[in-house]
Amino acid sequence: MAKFGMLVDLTRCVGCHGCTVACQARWDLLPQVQFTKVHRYEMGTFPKVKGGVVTTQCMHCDDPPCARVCPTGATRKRADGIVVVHEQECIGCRYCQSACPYDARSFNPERNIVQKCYFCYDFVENGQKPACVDTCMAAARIFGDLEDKGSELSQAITARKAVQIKGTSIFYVPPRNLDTSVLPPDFQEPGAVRIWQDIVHPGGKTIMGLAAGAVIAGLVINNIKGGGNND
Amino acid sequence: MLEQRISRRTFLKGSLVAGALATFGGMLVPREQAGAAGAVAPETSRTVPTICEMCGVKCGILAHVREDRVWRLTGNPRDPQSSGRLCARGNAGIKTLYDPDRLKGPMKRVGEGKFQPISWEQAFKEIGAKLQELKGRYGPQTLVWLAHPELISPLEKHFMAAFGSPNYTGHGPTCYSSRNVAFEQMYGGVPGVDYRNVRYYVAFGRNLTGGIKNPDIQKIVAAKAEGAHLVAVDPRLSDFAFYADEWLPIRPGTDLAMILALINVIINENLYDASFIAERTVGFEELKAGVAAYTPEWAAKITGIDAATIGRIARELAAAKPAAAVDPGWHAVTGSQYYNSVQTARAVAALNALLGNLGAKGGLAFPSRIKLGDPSSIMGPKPPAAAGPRWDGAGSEKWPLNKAHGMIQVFPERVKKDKPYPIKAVVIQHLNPVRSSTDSGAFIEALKQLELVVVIDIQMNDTAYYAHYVLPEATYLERYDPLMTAGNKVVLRQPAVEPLFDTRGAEEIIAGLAKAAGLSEYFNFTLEQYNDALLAPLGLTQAQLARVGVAEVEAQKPDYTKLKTPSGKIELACQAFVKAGSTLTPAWEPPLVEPGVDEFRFIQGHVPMHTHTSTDNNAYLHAIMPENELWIHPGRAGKLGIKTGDLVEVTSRVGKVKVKARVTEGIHPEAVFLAHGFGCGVPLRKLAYNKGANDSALIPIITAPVSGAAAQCETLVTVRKAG
Repeated sequence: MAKFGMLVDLTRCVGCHGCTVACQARWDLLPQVQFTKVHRYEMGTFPKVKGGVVTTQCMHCDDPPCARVCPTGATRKRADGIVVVHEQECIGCRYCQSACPYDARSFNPERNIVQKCYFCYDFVENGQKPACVDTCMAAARIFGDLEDKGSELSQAITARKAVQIKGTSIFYVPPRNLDTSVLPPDFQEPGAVRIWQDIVHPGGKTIMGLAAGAVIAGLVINNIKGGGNND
Repeated sequence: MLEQRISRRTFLKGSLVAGALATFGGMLVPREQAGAAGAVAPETSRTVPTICEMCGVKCGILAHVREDRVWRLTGNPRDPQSSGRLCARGNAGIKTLYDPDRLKGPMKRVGEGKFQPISWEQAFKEIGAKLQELKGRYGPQTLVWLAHPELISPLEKHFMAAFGSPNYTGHGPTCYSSRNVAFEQMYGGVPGVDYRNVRYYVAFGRNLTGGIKNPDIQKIVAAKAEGAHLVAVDPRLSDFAFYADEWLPIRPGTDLAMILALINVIINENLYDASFIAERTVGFEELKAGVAAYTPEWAAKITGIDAATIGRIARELAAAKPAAAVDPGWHAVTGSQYYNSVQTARAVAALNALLGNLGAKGGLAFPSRIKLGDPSSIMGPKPPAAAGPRWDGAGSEKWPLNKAHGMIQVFPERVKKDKPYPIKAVVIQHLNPVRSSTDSGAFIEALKQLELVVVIDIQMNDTAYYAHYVLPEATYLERYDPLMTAGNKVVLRQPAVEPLFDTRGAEEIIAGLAKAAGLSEYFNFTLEQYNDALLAPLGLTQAQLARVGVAEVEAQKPDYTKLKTPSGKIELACQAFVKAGSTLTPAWEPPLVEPGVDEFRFIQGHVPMHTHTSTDNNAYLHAIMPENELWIHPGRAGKLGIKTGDLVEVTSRVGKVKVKARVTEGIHPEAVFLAHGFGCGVPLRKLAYNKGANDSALIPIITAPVSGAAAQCETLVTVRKAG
C-alpha cells in the first residue's frame, strides 16, 4: 500500500503563492480559505539581514488528532496516509480545528464545514499531481509514495537531505541561511486531546443523533401547532 | 473548546448544505466523476488552450471549462513560457473573469462616479461624432491614444494611423524606457538573460522573483539549484534579495556608481574578454578612459558598499564569464526610477560586453524571430501621413532616442498648454495612468479638462472613473486576439467561454469606433482574416491553430555578428548619446535629489501576487495581499515613534497618503518603500477600494534626460504617525 507524502524544497521556493491559489481554484475555495500558506521570515539587523520562505499546510499526521476528536467521523485517515474530510458528514463543530497542532484547518462559513488540504486525492488516483505541485514554477514541491524507494519523492528526500517533520508526511529542505527552527515542529500531541477523544468520539455520534432527532421532532411539532409561522 | 455552539439554526443549515452537496457532487466527489455519474454530461467538460493576461508575459494556458464555466486554469505544457506551470496571478484568473465588479456594458458618464448604461450603437455614434467634430476643429493630432501595448496594439496603431494622428503612447516611460533606449543604441535591440545557464548573476534593482515572469523564474531556479551564484543589489530586502545568495543594500539611486566601478576593475585588472571586445565592439579605448576615475574606493563613498566587495564582485563576475550576466533590468534602476537611469542602463550594457556574454551560453540573448505574413493588404488603403509632430515631443530634436516609447508622464502639463497644438481627446486602452503614471492628482485634472475621454477596459479603474465613455472589453478568457509568437512557437488567444456580459473584443471596439469616425475603409476585415494573413507563410490558419493553441514553427536565430547598430557591433562609445545631449561613454551622474535629515527617498516596486493596478480587486489575490505597507527602517521609525501596524502619513511635494507602517530591518535607512498597485479610489471596485496607498499620488512629474522616462524614485517624502 502506498503512503503518500510531500517534500517542499525551501531552497527553491520563491514565495510566489502559486500553490495557494492553484489549490483554491481547484477546490473552489472561498478567498479567505487557504489550504496552503506561504510565510516569510526576516532575521538579523541591517545591513546583515537574511530572509526565507516557509510554506505550511495539513501535515497528514500519522495519528491525526483531528480525526480522533471528530464527533461524526467526517475526518478520517485513509489507508494511503491521506487525511480527508468527508464534507457531507462534517457538522462544522470545529473540534478538529482546535485539535490540529499545525493550524492547518479552515472553517468555511458559507458551508458551515471545516476543510483542509486533501493532497488532491482524486487527482492522485488518476495519476495526476496535486494542484500545488503541478503549478509550482520553482518545482519546489515533490509529491509521491514514501513506501516506494524508487519514487521521485523518496529519492529527493535522500539526495536533498530533507528533514521530516516527525509524525507527519511532510518533508522540507530547509531554507538556506536559516536554521530548522523556522520549520513546523515535530508532531506533538496537543494538550488534553487524549482525554477528549475517549469522551467525544464514541459519544459524539449518539449525541448528534439525539440532537438531530430532537430538532426534527421540534420542527414537526412546530408545524403541526402553528404552521411554522411563529418565529 | 467548542468555538461555535451548534444551534438548531446552524445545524439545519449544515444539513441542508450537505443535502445540496450530495445532489450536486460535494467536494469529496471528484467533479469529473460527478459529471460521469450524470449530474453533468461529460461533453459539457472541455479544455481550451489559450493565453493568460494576468500580466504582460502571456503564458500559454489551458482553461478547464465545465458547464460553460471556467473552473480552473493550468499552464499549457506545450507552451514555451508556462511549460505547464503558473504563478498565483495566472491561477487566479477565474476570479477576474467572475469578478462581480466587472464592467458589464457600455456606459456614459452623467456625473462624478455616476454612469448610465447605453447601447454599443449609441456609444459608437456619439464618440464617432465627437471624434469627427474635434478632428475638424483641431486636426487629427488632437487625439492621443494611451495603452499598455498588448497583442491588440497593431490594430490600435492602425486606428491612429487611419485617423491621422501620430500620438500613440505606451506605458514604457513608467517602466522600461531607459533600459530600452540604452540597449537599442548600444546593442541594436534589448537582450534578455539566458537564466537557465547563467552561473553568476547580478541584479541591480531587478526584483526577478517579485516582478515575476514565469519562464524566467523556472529557469533561474534551475540554474541556482545547479550552483549559480545570485547577487541582489537593492536598497531593500526585495523578494529577489530574499532568494539570492547575497544581498548588497546599496544607497538608493547610486547603482550607477557601483556598476562604473565594476567596469573600472574589470578593465584595469585585464579581466575582460579581449577577443570579444576586439571583434564585436567599438569604443573600448574611449570606455577605458571614461571610467578611469571610477575606482571601487570612489564608488564605496557614494554607494555604501565597501570597495573590497565591489572588487570581489567584479572578479567573480569575470571569472564566470561568459556565463555571467548583469541583468539589463526591467522597471527599476535601469528602467524608470532615477534621473540617471539611462546612464545606469548604458553602464550595464557596457559591463556585459566586457564579459563577452552576448549570445554565449549563460549570458545575454536576443529572442528568435518568426517571420509572419504581412496583413496590410486586407487593412484598407495606405494611411495618410501623420498631421504633425508627436504630442509629447518624443522623437523630436530634443528627444531623438525615445520615439517608440513616448512620454506619458507629460500628459497633464501637455493638456494644459495648447502649444504646439491642442490635445482635446484621449482613448485609453488596458491602462490605468491615473495610478500607473506619475502625480495622480495632476492626471485627473487633465482628464477633466478634455472634451472626450474614452476608456476601453475590463474593469472600472481609476482612469475609467473620469471617462466620458467606458467601453467594456471582454476578458482574455472570452475573446480572440491577434496571435503571438514566443521563441519558435505561435500561440493563439481564443475564448474559453462566451462573453458573460455585453462586452466585446478590443478589435470589434476599435473597428466600431473607426467606422463611426468615418474610417470604415480601414476596418473591413475580421480578426480571423488578420490572423490568417499573419499565419499564411507558416502554412497555418487560425482555425487550425485554435485546436492546439500552440504550434511549433521555424524561427530565425539571432545573428550576433551583425547587430542593428551603425557599426554592426556593440557601441561602447556611442555617438547617438552625444547627439541626444549626453556623454560618449557611460559616466557618473548623481541622482536628481538627495534626502535631507528629516526626509526619505521614496522607492516603489512590484510584488509577486499583483500586476500593476489591475489585480487588486481579484478576490484570491486580494486575500493574499489586500494592501501595501510602508517599509521603514527601525532606527528612523523609532525616532518618529512609529511601530509596525501604525497608520502613518506620507507626504511629498505633490501628494499625501495614509498607510500602515511595516518596520523592518530589510530597508536602507534613507528610503521608505511602497509596493505599487494599491490605493484604488473607485468605490465601484469593492474589494480594492481604499485598500493601502496609491504610490503614484506621491510621485511628482519628472522626466529623465535622454530616455524621456519618468524618474519615479526621485521623490522625497516625510513620514509622520497619523492619528
